[in-house]
Amino acid sequence: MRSLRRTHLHHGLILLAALLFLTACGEKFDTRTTYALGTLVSITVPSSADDAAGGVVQLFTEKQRQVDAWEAAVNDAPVGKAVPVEPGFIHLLETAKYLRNLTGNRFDITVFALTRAYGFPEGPFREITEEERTDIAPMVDFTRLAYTRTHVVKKAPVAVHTGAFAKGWIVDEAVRYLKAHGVEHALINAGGDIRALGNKSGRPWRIAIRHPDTNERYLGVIRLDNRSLATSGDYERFFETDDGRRITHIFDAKTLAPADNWKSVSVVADTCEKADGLATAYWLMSAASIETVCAEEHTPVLAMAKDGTVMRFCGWESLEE
Amino acid sequence: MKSDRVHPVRLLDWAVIAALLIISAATVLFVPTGGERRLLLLSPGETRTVGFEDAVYPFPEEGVIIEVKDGRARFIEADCPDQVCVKTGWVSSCGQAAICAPNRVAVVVSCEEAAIDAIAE
Repeated sequence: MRSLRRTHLHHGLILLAALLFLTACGEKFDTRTTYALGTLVSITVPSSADDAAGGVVQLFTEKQRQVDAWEAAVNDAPVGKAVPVEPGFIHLLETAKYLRNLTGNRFDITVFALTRAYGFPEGPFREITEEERTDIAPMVDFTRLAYTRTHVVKKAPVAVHTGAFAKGWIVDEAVRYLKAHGVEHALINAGGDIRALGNKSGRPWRIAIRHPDTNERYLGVIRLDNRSLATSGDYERFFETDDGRRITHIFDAKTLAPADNWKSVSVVADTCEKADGLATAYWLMSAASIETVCAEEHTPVLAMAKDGTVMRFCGWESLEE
Repeated sequence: MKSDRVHPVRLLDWAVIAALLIISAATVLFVPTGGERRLLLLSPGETRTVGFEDAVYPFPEEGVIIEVKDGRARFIEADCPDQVCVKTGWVSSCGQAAICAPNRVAVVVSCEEAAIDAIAE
């Protein structure tokens, strides 16, 4: 009896050791780095899923083209014309509405009329005159858009740009694609819009947050498991005026001016679209507002204020290493 | 009789357990934090992999110049209006990148085995 129990114990130990062995060896991952979505994209998948990574690159190109075409169709349409659109675009408009409500109308995809006048996204850049600002002001108004499940109508001149969260949505589409192709573990990083699927050989994916002021160290390192992380930073897209002021690319639709509340805002959420959108939405909020909203949205946040103070909200600490 | 049968199996068991544990511990503990570092130079239609030897890589068509010096890399010149790539400065750690999005040129530090899987920028 005793030796039988011992034999069981031995078998158990062998099994445990074998499991440890397998975990340690793990799956080999390959990273594909390329240009897509107007930024640098890296796709990390098991070596055996290389074809699926190629499919993701293709999907990125197709989806970006699709979003661009949807926006152009609406932006170029005359006022009063019902523009037929696909369900994907209505989904993006719904996300835009949700983020607008969350920020008390500070987030607005129609702020594009203003950011475009400054030269964003790629320049040449210039500051606009107060007269120009006054002219553009009425165009910054999401309620100028009316939409059904199939059509969008502009009630007055207005232009939209979903860049604040469309990239995240496309990353989510890529993860759906990977899952459909049997990939269980992957990491996608589209210029800081990151989504983790599964884990890396049994350990969570490790993600570092860029420090806004130096390349010598990180703002933090977290473990990410089946969730998404997105960061907005004052180093991303900006230009400096002749008198040395930094004009960043995130604009407040209420003040009609660039929002310079933060140096860096990172958000963890279930989807990349949500993380991406909230990284911009929280950028437009005060610390107190972020604290309230991130609790309702269940999204950990790491933020660095203009004076360098680092703040953690809604359980960010529990993700840190 | 019984103990004679169990005994050799037990020795073999322990040998197997010990071997597996040693190998797995070695794999876990000695995963190189970086492995070999290389630079990926991305430009439209081409990705070059280069080492960290001091060098200057001009991309005349894209209007940018990348410099590699003292184990670091940076953009020293770019004709894009935002100059974000030049302002990024030196990159040297695994996963770090400097990107000139308008001209579609980037320099990325690529490592065989990195402790960090991605950097949120």
